[in-house]
Amino acid sequence: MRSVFRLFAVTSLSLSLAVAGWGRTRPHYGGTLRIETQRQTFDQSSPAYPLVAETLTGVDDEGNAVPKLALRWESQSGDRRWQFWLRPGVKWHDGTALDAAEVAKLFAGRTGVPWRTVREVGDVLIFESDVPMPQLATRLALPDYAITRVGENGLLQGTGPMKVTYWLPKSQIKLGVFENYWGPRTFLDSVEVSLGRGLRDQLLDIGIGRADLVQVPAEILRRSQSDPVRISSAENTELVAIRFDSRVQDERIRQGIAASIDRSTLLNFIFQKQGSVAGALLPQWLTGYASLFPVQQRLQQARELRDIFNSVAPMTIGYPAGDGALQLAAERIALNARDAGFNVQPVPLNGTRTDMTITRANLPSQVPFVALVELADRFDIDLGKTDGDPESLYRAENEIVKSAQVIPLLYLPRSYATRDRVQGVRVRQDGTAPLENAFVEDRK
Amino acid sequence: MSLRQRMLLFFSVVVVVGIGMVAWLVSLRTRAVFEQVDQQRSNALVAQFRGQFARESSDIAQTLQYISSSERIQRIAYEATHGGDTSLYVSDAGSLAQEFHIDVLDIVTSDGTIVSSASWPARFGYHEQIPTISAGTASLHRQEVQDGYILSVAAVQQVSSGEGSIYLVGGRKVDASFLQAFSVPAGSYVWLYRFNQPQYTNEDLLGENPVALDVLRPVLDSARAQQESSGILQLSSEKFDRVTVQAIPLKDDSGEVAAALLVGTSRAPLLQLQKHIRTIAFGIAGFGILISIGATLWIAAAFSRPIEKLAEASQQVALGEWNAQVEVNSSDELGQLAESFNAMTQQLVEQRGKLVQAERVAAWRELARRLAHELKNPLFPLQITVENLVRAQHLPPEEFNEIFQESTATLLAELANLKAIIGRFSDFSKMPKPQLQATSLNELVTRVANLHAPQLKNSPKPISIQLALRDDLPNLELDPELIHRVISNLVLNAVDAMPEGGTISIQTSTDSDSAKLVVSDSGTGLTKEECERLFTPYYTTKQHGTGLGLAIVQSVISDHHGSIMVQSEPRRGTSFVITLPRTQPGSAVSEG
Repeated sequence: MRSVFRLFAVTSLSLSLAVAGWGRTRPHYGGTLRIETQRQTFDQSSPAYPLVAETLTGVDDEGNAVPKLALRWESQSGDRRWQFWLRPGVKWHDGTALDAAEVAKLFAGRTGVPWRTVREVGDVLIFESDVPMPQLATRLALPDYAITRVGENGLLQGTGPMKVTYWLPKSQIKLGVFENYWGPRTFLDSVEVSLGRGLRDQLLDIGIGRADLVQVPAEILRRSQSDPVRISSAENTELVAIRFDSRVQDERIRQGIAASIDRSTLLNFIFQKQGSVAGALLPQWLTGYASLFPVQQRLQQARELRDIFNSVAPMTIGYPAGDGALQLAAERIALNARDAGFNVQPVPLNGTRTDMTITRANLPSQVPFVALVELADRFDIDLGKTDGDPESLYRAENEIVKSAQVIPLLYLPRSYATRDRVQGVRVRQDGTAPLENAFVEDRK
Repeated sequence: MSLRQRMLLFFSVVVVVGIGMVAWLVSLRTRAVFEQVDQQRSNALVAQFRGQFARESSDIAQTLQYISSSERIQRIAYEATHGGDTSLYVSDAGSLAQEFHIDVLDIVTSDGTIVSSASWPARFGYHEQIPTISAGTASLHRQEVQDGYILSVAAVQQVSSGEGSIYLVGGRKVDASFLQAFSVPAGSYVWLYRFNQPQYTNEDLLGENPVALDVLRPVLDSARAQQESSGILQLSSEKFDRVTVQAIPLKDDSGEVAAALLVGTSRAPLLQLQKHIRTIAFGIAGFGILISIGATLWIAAAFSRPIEKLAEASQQVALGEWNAQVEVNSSDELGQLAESFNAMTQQLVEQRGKLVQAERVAAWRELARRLAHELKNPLFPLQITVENLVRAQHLPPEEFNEIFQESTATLLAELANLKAIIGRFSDFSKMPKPQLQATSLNELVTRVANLHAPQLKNSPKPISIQLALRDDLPNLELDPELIHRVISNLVLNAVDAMPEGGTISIQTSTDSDSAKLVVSDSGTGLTKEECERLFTPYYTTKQHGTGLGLAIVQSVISDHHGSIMVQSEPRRGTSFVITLPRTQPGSAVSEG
């Protein structure tokens, strides 16, 4: 009897705990998610952006294109012609139907895109080019190709599950549920994004519960581990690199600077050992060949390259104003370059042209070809001919790194700090954190 | 320069020099006083700087002590001395410096490895020399940073952890805010120059008053060479914008001159005062000169004007106006002088009349004597001849006729002689007026020389004639016959003066206004008295002769508006110098 009672008690307790646990993790409708960000604009870098703006396709965890605004697609003529069948019943946030002609017009007006023309035939969008456009369906899943417009009220309009309800430039944007969304409703009732918040303020706010989700830069990730928040990261998804200006024409100077840089010190001290040193544009986990690129400091080689020239004009390295870690990295790189005999002065980027720029770039995609193409676009580099297979990708990347047009420095994690009340936020391997399944436990 | 001008000059100089001396002395004394005050001001500012530096030093040392006792530093010290990971603390120096309001903070291990740096955050891991600054004190410290050097008032604090220790090198930048704590009185300047670079740059100069670096260069050079110096510097093109600057070299912890304190005092008040003194001096001097002019005019009226009148009258007398008179306006010494002058000229006029009269009498006497002498010579043969005829009337007719013939011949000869004598005198009295025509003086001279030269050359005591004639001598307006006669006369006179033979030189020359003819001999010469009387009519030094030759010469030359003079010394020959105008007054003869 006692054993039965004991069994009953244990079973009851287990069930209670299980129910309670399930209750805690069960999605709730309603509530507001508060996001804070350093950026003063609401754009593709914000985790909330996909809630407003949707793309024709999406990418699953394996890197395969999946339907979103396009139900299906088809490649023809050796990837020179792509057809996308638009999902029916999709509406803009002002209630008007998403029209294939308008979408074609939006795509046709874009520059720096792989296609030459875009046209519509009925609900079908047809992308055409003289050269192959491999993996276009995957590329169109990038937030850069999200379909948006500006409504009559001056607010950003998309087709996503949430629409912009309030916008105070450089300060705050509020999103509310779009009832006419073609898909399921979000659990969240609203999302508030505070723009232009300093990093220190963000950490303070999330620490005291005034914010629910903030992005945590790698350089403070180590210290943030002890804070009462949950940290979720995607390893090696943010590239730190130097891009040379076209006026630094001599390859040997660029190579000299590249050889002088001590990446390990940058990683271990400035970025607090978060991430890994990078010799290639794409991370090892994505390509498998990144370890073939040299990452060590080669001071002697740098000096020899420097000594080829009688004199080298002083150079400037620009860093994004307000990014303390990149400023410190730029200063350290200048110090490294000085050790090799180069005169490099760090300056904040304020519109003035600099000889080189240190910058961060999110890994655009978890598809290697798409990621490299997009990074090349981002750094304004001619990628050359590549059809997307690993060997051609390596050759293309090797050319870029060898000529030192871009010097990859580090790959850092993209991390998010969330309060315990926030659930359903999963950081994907490419560093994005979709919020369509996010919910908050307690309604505020 | 007239007496009046000299008096005016004298009084003016006395006034100007006197006032100038006074102004200079006042200015000199003023400058001395100002410089003394400037020095006191500079000393006060330097003392203020030292006080400020001492306070800053104490504050920095104390701040570092606080920082060293903080938990973060203790943790870093522990990690650094126990082989821990110090990468976490890369930014700590910056945040600590911000928290404790200091500009420079380096956290350095005992081997000099930088753990964290506030002034050059990227320099972690590099090595630096830990400054040798005593505990509890501070010193100027120059530190390399990203874009050059910074100068700070820095201290060093050792932080021990177990057996090891780390060091904090911290301080405050010596920048514009450092000088803002100064209480600088109006008219004073304080600059601080940091020798952060080999060349001088405006960025390294601190101070509220703008100044061109080139102006400060001399004192900065001295300070850099560890020498205190001072100088007067012109800060701008403004005349009064001058400053007395004292430069004090400031050494850093390594003993090198890291900066120079420049304390300046404006010289504008002194210069303005000096200008004021000068203006007053000029005013007084100008007024004094006016007074001098007035005094000079008054004194001139009283003294110099009568003297000037006397001088003018004297000049008139010298020019031949012997009857010049001076107005007598006073009865003092000048009045008496004027009266004496007037009496003297009166006497001169009277004496001159008497002299003329006496000369006339003497001339008539001389004329009578000459005439009697000349006439007596032919009269005596006439008398003898007539007496012979009287005695011969008793002789037979043949003898009488012979004697008669001889006597009548003698009578006729002597009468002819008498007639000639009378003719010469008549000629002198009736000298013809010159008939002027363009004539070559050189030709006339040559003709005369050619006329006489053969005869003189062949005489027992030969005389040569040497000509030195100016080729470019133009034609002159002359009466050729009269001038020929003049030259011949002078040549014959020269021949007479050289009984033992010799040389006659004839030269011609010209200048812009006149032509000159010089006839010289190498004869016995003349005494001074003979020279003075040579042109007097009927005066002669020869045994025979009428004494009219040179008188006629002088008359002819005078009629040609020329002049003649004689230069002679005994036994050194005689020269007659004739000057003739190139053009005669009232006529125009073209030169050929």
